[in-house]
Amino acid sequence: MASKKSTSSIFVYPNKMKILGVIMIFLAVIIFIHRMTTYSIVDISAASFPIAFGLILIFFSKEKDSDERTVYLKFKALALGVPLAAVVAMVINYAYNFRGYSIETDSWYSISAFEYLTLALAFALACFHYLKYKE
Amino acid sequence: MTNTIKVERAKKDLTQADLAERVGVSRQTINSIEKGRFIPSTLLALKIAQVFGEPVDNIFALEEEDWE
Repeated sequence: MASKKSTSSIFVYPNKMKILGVIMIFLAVIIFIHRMTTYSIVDISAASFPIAFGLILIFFSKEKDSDERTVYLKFKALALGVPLAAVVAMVINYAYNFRGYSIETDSWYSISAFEYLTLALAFALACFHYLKYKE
Repeated sequence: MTNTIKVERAKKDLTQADLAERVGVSRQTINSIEKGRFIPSTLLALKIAQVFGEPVDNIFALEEEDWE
């Protein structure tokens, strides 16, 4: 069992919290699709809220074989995923704002914090699994 | 950094999984250390050395590029 000073204890959520994270993401996607097909409502921002929390639970939960190498790989994955998500967010914002200032919203468009967090953690999770099997 | 973990494992007739279990890490971590893809912490290096009954300097050695 990892001691309190062990690096593997950095991730505080137990491994089984990943299941809750997957359920949250699954329900968010189902509700998003239902709203889109039934009411023609496309609310990505609302869907990103539970998806972001689901990804938080998945990414920051302990791995089954958690040790100092998985901690190192998760940090490396965050170092890759967070800036990449920032670049993607800037591209999306630029594409939306290309026509100029929005009169409807009285502001320049910018993706929400939860949409950015979803992007960042999704990229980080993908990077982590890629690094885990590559290294 | 180079290491002689594979040689020491052969001397002690230990598999990667055996060594991993004794020092409390995954088999993939031991594999990554042997292939030089992952540098272990001081604690883990000392544990590995103790399992082999050797000083840590006999298991791990610095290379020129480690000083850069």
